[in-house]
Amino acid sequence: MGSGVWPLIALSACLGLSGLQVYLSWKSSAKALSPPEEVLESKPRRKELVVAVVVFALYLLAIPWLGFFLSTFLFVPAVSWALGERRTRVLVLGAIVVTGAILGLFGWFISIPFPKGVGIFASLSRLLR
Amino acid sequence: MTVHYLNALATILAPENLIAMVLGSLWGLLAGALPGISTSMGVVLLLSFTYTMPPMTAFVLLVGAYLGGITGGSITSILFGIPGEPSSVPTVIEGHSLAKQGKASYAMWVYLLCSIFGGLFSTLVMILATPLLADFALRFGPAEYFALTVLGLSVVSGLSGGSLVKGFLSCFFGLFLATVGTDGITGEERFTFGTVTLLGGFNFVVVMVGLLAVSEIFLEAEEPFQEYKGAVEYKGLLGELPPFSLFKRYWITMIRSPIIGTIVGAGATIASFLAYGEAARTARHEPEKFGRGAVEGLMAAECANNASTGGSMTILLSLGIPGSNTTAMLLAAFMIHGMQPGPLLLSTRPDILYGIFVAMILTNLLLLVLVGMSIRLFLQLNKLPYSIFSATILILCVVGAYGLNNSMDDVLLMFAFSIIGYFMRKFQVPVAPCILGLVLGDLAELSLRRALLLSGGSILGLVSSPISAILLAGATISVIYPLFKKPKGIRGV
Repeated sequence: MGSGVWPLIALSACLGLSGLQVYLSWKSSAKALSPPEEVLESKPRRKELVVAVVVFALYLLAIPWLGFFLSTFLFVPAVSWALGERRTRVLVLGAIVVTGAILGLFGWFISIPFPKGVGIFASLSRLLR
Repeated sequence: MTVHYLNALATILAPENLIAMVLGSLWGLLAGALPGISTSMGVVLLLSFTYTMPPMTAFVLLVGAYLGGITGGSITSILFGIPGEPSSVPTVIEGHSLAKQGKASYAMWVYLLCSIFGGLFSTLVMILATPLLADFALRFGPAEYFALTVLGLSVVSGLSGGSLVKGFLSCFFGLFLATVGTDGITGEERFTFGTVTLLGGFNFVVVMVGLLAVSEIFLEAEEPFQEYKGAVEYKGLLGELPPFSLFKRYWITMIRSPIIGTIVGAGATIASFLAYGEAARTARHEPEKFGRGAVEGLMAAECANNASTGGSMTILLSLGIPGSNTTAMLLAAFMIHGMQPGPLLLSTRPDILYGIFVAMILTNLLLLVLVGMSIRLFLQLNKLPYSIFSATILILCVVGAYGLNNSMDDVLLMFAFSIIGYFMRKFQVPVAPCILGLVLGDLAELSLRRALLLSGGSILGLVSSPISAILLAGATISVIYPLFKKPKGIRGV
């Protein structure tokens, strides 16, 4: 049994099961004569979701440039705001406390070598550590 | 033999060993509870401190870290929905659901009592079985390991919820993900696209954190804004202690799960998934709650999870083979101190062997006290403002993924899996079978190929031994049985 057989089995099964699921879904939707009785009470907050995902992606992209700690300090209020938090005190305190706790625990105590950033941000990261 | 135990007890109760036990347990709890530090990493970090210690003190410290890590891993699973280890996935599914319903304290007590029960049960079995097991376990070859993984994968039927098709689709996707990286037999690269990052394959933690924890935050971002994650009322140290009737009601699960955990010495993951799958499949009381906060599921996973410690240690002490990543670290500790675990340990260093037995019992009891007294502290974390709480979880997920190899590539992969996890859960494709497939895929493939090599390519070689034949028959029944059974409305996660 070569190295390609097992992935082939797994992928074939995935394709076969996907096809079966499409067929089952089509069959069950064809059977449904009336729309489902259950109606969603509230619409999902799609905009908030998209903003939160984008903020998270930007945070991940910013880490190598700004350094982990500065990025985290900016990320906490940004994503909290995206999720609906509007209390300024919570946003500011959250950024300070969470970044401080992460810095203390993972930066100082466990000494994980997080990205330091580039240029002036690298100097700032070194100062914090 | 009694003399050996009394001597071992006297040694363990020496002040330096008691201090080592407390420190090891506390460190293990911290390592297990923090994402980014696995139990095995927690043991490795301690290993360098033990070089100059007397061997017994070193093993008390390391055993404390091992048991503490396995126990502590479920704290973040229940409170934040972040699985520290693959074995904690069923705990996230049920325990975190209970926490979201405002029953975090109750879930914590159930988890703690079941964990300690599982740990003590397996330790007692370990004490009895270690001298006897060597002969039986030596018969396990590739065919038996393949059959064992197939049995492990067969629990997908219990994790699939309403749709077996979606459950198996997810499982095969996980099996495919496990093939990415360097082939363990020929050394060929598979699906790496020439990148160094994928040479070692996908790390379990990266996939788990992405599929489960980050996708959960994305799903919750769609829900109406709430200031706090969930009100947690603390009713005193013993206020939320589960009644004895709860354990009486689920007595079958309480007996079956530690047995599964102890027997499956290959690690906590297969054990907790198997026990959880069995509990879901055979649930008589409130089966509809599985996936939504079933206390029976939490009990099964936790009993088996901690019971695996005794199973893994039995294999290590009786055969010298590590049954899990962490016991591989303990094997290194034995070598550092000039010893070789295995059949000869009983005659060469009975003091160490019996000392480890006694240390495991005492450490389990110590963990009951340590975690029990700190439940209030852990619950305070749930009172963080919801948005800050979510931000903190996302950061911890980043730290967890980054800390594996100090690489941003792992973090970006985690992000990719969080998007996949979001859509899987949106379309009600359960993610737990995918993780199970990823975790067991490598062992299943390698065992199958080795078994086929040994049998000259004959598939009949897989069922030529009674052990593998029984295991494969069990797996077949486990998959076919739900097809002929009335669905119980178990929701897949």
